[in-house]
Amino acid sequence: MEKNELKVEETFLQKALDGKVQVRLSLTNRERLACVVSNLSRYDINIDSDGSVMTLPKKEVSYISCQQPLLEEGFFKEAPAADPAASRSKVQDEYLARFVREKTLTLLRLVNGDELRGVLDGFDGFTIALRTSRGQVLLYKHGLCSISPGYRRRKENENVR
Amino acid sequence: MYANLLDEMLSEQCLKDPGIGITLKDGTALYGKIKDFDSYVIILDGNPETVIYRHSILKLSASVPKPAAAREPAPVRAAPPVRETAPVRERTPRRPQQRPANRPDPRHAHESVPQDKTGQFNPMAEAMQKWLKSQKGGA
Repeated sequence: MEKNELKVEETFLQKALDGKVQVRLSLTNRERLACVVSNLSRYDINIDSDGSVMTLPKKEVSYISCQQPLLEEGFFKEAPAADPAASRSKVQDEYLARFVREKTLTLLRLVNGDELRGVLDGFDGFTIALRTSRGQVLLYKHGLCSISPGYRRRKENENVR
Repeated sequence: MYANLLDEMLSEQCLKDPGIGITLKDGTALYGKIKDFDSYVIILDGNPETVIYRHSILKLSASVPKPAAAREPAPVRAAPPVRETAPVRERTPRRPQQRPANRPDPRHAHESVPQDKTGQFNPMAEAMQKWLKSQKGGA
């Protein structure tokens, strides 16, 4: 079932692979890896981190961040609008689309306790593309706890990526 | 027929209930009214509205400690004795307390002071000891 015409995850990872871009991976156990994507499959990512190649299941990846934006704004504009009738999660799509449209600064809490702050660029079935102060982030929805608009006071033990 | 209990709870109770407590996997506890939901997310009303992914819900409970203002008065019970806190008095420099007349000066405590079992000064005991001493001396 096609939820959304945008292929955010596929395009982001393909561009990272083609351009051999240095990306930062955050795993669900809060481990962080600076690496280059070396291969892709549907459920796994192969990465090259400091000369060692490893395979990571996508479900263990929390988010992938990149210094320079891999997905330009044009990518999100050119894509056809999602068909709301085809969506299995109308409420979610409605709210995410509103965050994208209004360019709200959102606070995203992750399952592993991290917090991200940024503006949503776009989303697809399993991921959300996000613009933060540290570059563009491809965030997997499976690592996401809640999304709320607005600022929040910084905590001491908090690390924003 | 609902696919699962969460759907049932959400649609039957939470949409009309005043509020619900949600604990998430990252440890945050939220409390609010559910505005909307679908098969993957819940929208919790409040300021601001929060989109909560259902895969991140750890616990969902209808009975949550409500904010103190909203809490109903406790049922009337036999009132426990009211213990008033003593009024705080200003501290005055401690003066040497006046002892009762029959109380020996503690400065002479090392001298054998006639005391009865309760530890109190007892003139009768004193007289008795004196008498014993005089008897011994006489003998």
